[in-house]
Amino acid sequence: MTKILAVSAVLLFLLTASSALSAAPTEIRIGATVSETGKFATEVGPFSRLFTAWAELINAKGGLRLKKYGASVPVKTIVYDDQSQEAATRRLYERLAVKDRVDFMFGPYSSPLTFSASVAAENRDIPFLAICANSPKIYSRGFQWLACVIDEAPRYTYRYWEMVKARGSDATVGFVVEDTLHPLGVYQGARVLAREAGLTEVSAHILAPDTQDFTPVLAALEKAKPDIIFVSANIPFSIAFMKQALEYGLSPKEWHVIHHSGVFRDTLGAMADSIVGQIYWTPRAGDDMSRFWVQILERANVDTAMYPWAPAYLAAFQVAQQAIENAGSLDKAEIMKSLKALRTRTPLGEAWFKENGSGAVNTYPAQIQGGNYVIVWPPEMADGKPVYPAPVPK
Amino acid sequence: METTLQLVLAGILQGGVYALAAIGLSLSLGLMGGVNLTHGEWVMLGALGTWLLAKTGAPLLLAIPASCAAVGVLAFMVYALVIKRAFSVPQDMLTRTSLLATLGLAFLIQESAAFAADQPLWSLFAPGAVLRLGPFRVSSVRIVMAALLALSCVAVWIALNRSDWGRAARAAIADRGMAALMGVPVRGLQGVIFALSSALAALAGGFSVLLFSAWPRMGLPLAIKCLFIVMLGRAGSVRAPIIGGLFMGLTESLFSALGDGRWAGPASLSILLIAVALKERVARS
Amino acid sequence: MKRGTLALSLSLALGAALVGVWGSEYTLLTLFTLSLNIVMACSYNLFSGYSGMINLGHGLFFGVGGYACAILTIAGYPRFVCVPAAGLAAMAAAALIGPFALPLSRASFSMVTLGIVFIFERAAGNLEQWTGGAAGLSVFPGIDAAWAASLMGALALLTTLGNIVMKTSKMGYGLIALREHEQTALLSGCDAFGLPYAALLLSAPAAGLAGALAVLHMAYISPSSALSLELTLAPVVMVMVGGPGTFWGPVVGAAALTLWQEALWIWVDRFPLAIYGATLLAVGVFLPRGLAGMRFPAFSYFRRFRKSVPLRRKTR
Repeated sequence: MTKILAVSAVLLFLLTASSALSAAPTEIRIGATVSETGKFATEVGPFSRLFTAWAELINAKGGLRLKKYGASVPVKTIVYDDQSQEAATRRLYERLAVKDRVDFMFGPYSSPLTFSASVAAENRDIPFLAICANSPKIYSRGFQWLACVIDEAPRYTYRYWEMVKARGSDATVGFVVEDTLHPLGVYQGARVLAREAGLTEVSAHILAPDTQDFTPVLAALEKAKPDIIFVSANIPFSIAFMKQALEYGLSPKEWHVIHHSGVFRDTLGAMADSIVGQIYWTPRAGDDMSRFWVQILERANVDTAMYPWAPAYLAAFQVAQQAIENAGSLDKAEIMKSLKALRTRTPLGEAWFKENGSGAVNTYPAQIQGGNYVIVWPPEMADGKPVYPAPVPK
Repeated sequence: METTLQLVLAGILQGGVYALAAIGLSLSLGLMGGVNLTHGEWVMLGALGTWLLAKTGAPLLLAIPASCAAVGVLAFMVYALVIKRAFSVPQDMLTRTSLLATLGLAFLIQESAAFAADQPLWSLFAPGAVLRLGPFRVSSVRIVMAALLALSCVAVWIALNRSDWGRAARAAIADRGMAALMGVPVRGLQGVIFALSSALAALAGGFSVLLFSAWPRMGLPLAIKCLFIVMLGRAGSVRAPIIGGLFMGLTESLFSALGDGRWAGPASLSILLIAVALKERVARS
Repeated sequence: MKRGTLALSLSLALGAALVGVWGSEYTLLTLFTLSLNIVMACSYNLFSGYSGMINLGHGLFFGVGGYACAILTIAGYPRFVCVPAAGLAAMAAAALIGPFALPLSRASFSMVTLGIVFIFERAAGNLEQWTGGAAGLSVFPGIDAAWAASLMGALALLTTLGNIVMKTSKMGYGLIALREHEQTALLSGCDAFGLPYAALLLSAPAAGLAGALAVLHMAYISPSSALSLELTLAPVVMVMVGGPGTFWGPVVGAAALTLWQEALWIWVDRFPLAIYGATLLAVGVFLPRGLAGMRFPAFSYFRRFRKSVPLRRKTR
């Protein structure tokens, strides 16, 4: 009898011990979709290379360290093309959840796509880290499995208005807004922030995205003569507007165009100098993480000037890595808990999450100086001093 | 008052861009029938060609015509290889075949352009002087565009009405079978007109990249807009796309200034649709 | 209806039910998408296939139905009210655009109906109080995959049967007669406005119901998710690929394109849209009668069903 008991005890011990030891997973599966075709391809088209590059570089160091198994586990990224369509996005995230059995999900580009993608994660209890989705509506649904790296749209430009307030030499602002989700959200926050910074809104125009002729707006702005002209729009609209505005000869004390990335700067050439906009990060080797980011960008062959959303994705990678390593295992509830509780320093600033899931990472005001992007506020992050007021052209 | 006149001027100039893009489509549809969803792709390729040439340092006066010529040649090759076959089906199958074939071609062209171009968005800036004509301010680039459009229309009109080939083309538009019986080389004419209409579209594309910006997948919505404009008249007429384009530019411009610019698109489109319905009612009675 | 067609339909229904009960979640999702495309293609064909007018605005019914369902759900009405209401709303939209668009010439009809979709899409984006604007409306938690797949599958079956019924009905014959030779049809007493109008009204509810189910499944609606250009053109392309003038055409076209798109976007690494475009081009040029018109031995089996449907008209 005792022999049987002893043998059973040994067998039981071996079984449990082996199950604990062999429980180390062979890989960490992380899923996402990228808009490689469709209307969002101009913003994030090549970003599946970012995922691949990140995974390769992480795996070169062994992968992510999971305390529970005492080992580093390699990362496998599964990225599909969502064609910039909601139905396809939803289907692909369901596929990631059910067929590919991912442990973690990154969100797609844009709020509408994230709306439907996050439902799949919420239904299946999978941690979902949204990246470029800052419409406040997404975070008011009470989802438990949703977090976002970046802050909500109305707060997008708060650092710029801090700078304006500290400067104290502007009294009036005129707004030109493209009637699309993201620019509208940014504008609605910016007008409040401007008022709190002590400025008066003297002119505001909300225009259709395919507006071809801006003459009436330009005439109105010329009459109102605001100190700051604030253009909240996507890049094609901004380019079209600035071309006409520069030809027209408008010269406020400061131009602020929220998205003024590579194509905008290259098109306007020298006339883009002294325009302020918002960016997340300029590639500068500083700390280890910044150097790692530069490595990823080089390996993926993505230029942050052409694709200014790339740093947000890189911050999301860092946050995901730390959340998973802090959780120490692939238990999804643990990962979600550690994600929500995370507070960490990224090259974009401090990343943490509010109760409803939206994040704290925000853009910095950056001015184009001699063709380079120079972050001008706050002083601890600034690359240089702003040129103000903007020199009158010609 | 000044603003309204300014808006009308802007609308006419804007309509000129639409008209330029649509004239070629009207002619080629008149000759070939069916549906041509590749038209927007030629605009996009014209924009891409102009941008590429300008980037390598060529002056715009050279880049734009060179790009148009290249697009015209490419369009002719595409016609000879694919379009001719797709459009030479019996009349009752023409819509289906032409829609599928040109849609598939459009996808192919736009994805190739997206792959070939190393940048997702293209734009050029040649700050022209803003001319002041009395109380109005007009960009000189737009004036050049309007002049080119007027020239193109005159050239097309002269070619259609004063030349032998133009007479043959008009005959083929009016009755394809009869013209063929009378010895008009309809197939060859279709190819040439297709190439020329694509070159005209490329011209509009060249100006697009100069005035606004262009991207690989801009073609399909543009093709549909051009079809809307052509719909206002008979396919095959030159007047209709001009009037239609001007009409569209004007309504968009006026509506964008009256109150909320967000309703400019839907409002101008509604007026266009009502105009179409009225036109047909008048034509029938 | 012949016994053979009935047997086939029942076995398909049984197969779908079995999949619904035992299939994995992902199979259910694929079934849902497949059924959705079949519903849209068949309901589009119900009007356009028989009348010969290409209704590019069929997506409007989908969008109207979706928004009606979303707005009513948020207002608190129960599901069994919201979903049928969506079908009714789509029918109302058809009733409104019929008198405006139907008297126009074929080309104008197509462009006008497409224009109406664009107008509605922009309006949906502008009227924030009603439609949530560009950000859309959230109807979480919606319905689960099993319900969605079963309901949509049933709807797909219904619309396919509807096509079969239409083909052999008096209305169908009248429409075909009007399409092929209008003057003779008019002399025979066909109502040139009434018949197409009735067909348009019949084609709308299924699309509206599909829109409602899609919204409940996705738990979200926005102008781009319900009324985008791709969605609007999809049923047209599917029916054209499947084969005009057949009742199997829409089903075959929808199924083939759905599975082909799935295969391309998941298994192919590069240029899925270019390959898709190439297939459309190939089908357009090399398959003039569409997929259902191809001369395969298997297809001639179905053709025998078609030919043997009796021309029994109810004598008055």
